[in-house]
Parts: sequence; C-alpha cells; structure tokens
Amino acid sequence: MKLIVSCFKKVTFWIKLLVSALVLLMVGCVTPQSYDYLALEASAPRSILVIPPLNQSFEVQASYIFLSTISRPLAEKGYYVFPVSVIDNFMKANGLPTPEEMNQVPLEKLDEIIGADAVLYTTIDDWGRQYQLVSSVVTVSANMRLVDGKSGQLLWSARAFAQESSNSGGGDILGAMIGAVVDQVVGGLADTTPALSRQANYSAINNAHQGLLNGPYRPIEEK
Amino acid sequence: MSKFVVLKTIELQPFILTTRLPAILMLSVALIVILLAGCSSGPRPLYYWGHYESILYDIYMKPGEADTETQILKLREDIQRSEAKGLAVAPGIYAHLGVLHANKGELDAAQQAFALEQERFPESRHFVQGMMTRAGMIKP
Repeated sequence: MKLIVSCFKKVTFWIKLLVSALVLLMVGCVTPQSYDYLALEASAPRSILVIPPLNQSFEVQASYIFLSTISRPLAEKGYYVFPVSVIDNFMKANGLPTPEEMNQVPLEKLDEIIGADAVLYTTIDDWGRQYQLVSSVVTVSANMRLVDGKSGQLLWSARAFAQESSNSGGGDILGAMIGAVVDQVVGGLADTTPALSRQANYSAINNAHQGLLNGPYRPIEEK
Repeated sequence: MSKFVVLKTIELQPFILTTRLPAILMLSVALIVILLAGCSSGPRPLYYWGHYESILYDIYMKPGEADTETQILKLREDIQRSEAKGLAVAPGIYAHLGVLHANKGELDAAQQAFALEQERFPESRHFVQGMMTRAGMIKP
C-alpha cells in the first residue's frame, strides 16, 4: 500500500512537471495572428527581384548595406533571387543612377526585361547608430512589400527591425560616459549594421506566423 | 534519465501503474519533442554562401577591395568549396561571375557561367539571355 501511494505521488509529480513544461513551451510558441497568405499562395512566385531600397534614414549607404544582406534569407527560404548587384549595375547602366529612380520603373518594364515572378520593394526608415548620454543604440528598420511581378498585387509585407544597445559600466556614470566616447570612436570603425540587418531580415522572413511562405527550392515539409 | 525512471517503475510498481506511467511519460516526451521541433529556428541550409554577401558589401562600401579580379577569385573559391561541402551554389552567383568575366572580355568564361546559372535556375533564363543578347554574346 505504501508502495502504491509513493508511486502515485511520483506519477502526479511527473504529470505536474510535464503539464507545466508543456504550458511553458506553448506560451513560447504562440503568436496571436497569422498573416493572410491567400494572395501569396495564389501567385506562388518562384523568383524574386529585389529593387534597391528607398532610403528615408540619415545613413547615406543604408540601401546598399541592406541590399548585401537580403539575398541569402530569401534564397534559403526557397526562392530564386536575381543577383542584386548585377541588377543594380544594369539599372545604373540604363539611366537609373539611384534607388529613387529604380523604384519608379513601371512593373511592365521590369517584367519585360527581367521577368521576375515577384518584386520586393523596400523602404528604410531608420538606420545606424544614435548616441545618447551614456550609451549608444544601433537600429535597423525597413518595410518590405512583395508584389506580383505582373499584376502588382501585394503578396506579402513585413517590417524588418533589429536594435542593439551598448552601454558600458554597471551604473557608474563616469565609466559609462567614457564607454560612450570609446563607443563613438570604435563605432566609427566597426559598422554593426550589416549583422543587424541580416538578423532583421532573417527574423522577418522566417517569422512563424507573419513570415514568408516557403518557395519552390525549399521542400514543403520544412519550416 | 527518463529511461532510468521507467525501468525502475516497471520492476517495482503494481500492474496498473506500471502500464500507465511509461505510457504517460512516452506521450509527454513525444509531445515535448514535437513542440520543440515547432519552435526550433535554423532549417538546414540549401546553399553555400561563402564570400558572396561580403563581396556585395565591399562593392558599395569598400570598392577598393572589390575589383573585378578579386571578386572572380573569391567566387571561384566559393564554388569549389560549395562542391566540397555538398551544398549547391547559391542563386545569382554564376550570373554575377558571368558579368565579371564579360566585363573583362573573357567571353568563353562568361558564357560558361551564364549557362550554369540558367541550368541550375531556369527562373534566370529570361534575364540572362537578355543580357547575353545585349552584350552580343548570342543572337537575338
């Protein structure tokens, strides 16, 4: 009898432990809303043309830093991605010197010359390091819109966002201020926006409920 | 760890509990594994990327370090490595390489690279053929 009771206790302990573990895991997974993928599923693009982003930030080179980090996550998601710098050069050689002009090209013209199933338009709204009294914050923020290459219909949109703050010294104001100064000096040398941009794009594209659906080169059963 | 517990209970406990406990444990472990799999990030990579992203960065941010010859060498090295790693060459790399060769007047090498891009990624055909036509590499 004693044995049965102790065993029963053991069982209830295990059940409690497992239930709480399951609850924790589910809380970690659940996101409230899923993206409406109807248009994307209907269009089912195989290839994506990335137009160099419109830049509304103060960092002059933001468009091209972003551009160097977008091919990989899209291709790993299973899409053919047109070579971004080849496309950029091609447009420049054809009288479109900046992303502003490239974003104005009519879709029919892009379709005629490049023939992409879908076109990704991006607007960068915040990019780079901001200095505060005792720390600095690096931000990367862009809005992406994927449209059908023929109809122009919106297939998917997302915000790519990542932020990194560095503050030095634990509560020591002087140390922190020195830290910020060192940061400014170092920040002038080391650009952390490519890494942040990579992180932001990866998260936006692979988000479990709002991310892009798998393309044809990524087998369906894989997330 | 759980295996150990299961074995122990089978030996010691009365019939009802011995049959239920392992079942509960196994079910729960299976559930947890499924949930964890759903949460896990990083799927397996499709391509080997090598220098490609850093080349793109250098083209715009450090043009001095991204002359045509340097880009060709790095991309050729990446292509060899991707074969060694059993990963496919990423989309766009052969097309990029083809343009670099074409710019140097190395039309055979360019042709070869363009052909590989189209073979591996038929989605590129329209654009690549257009480029080759405009460069006089093929007849319209």
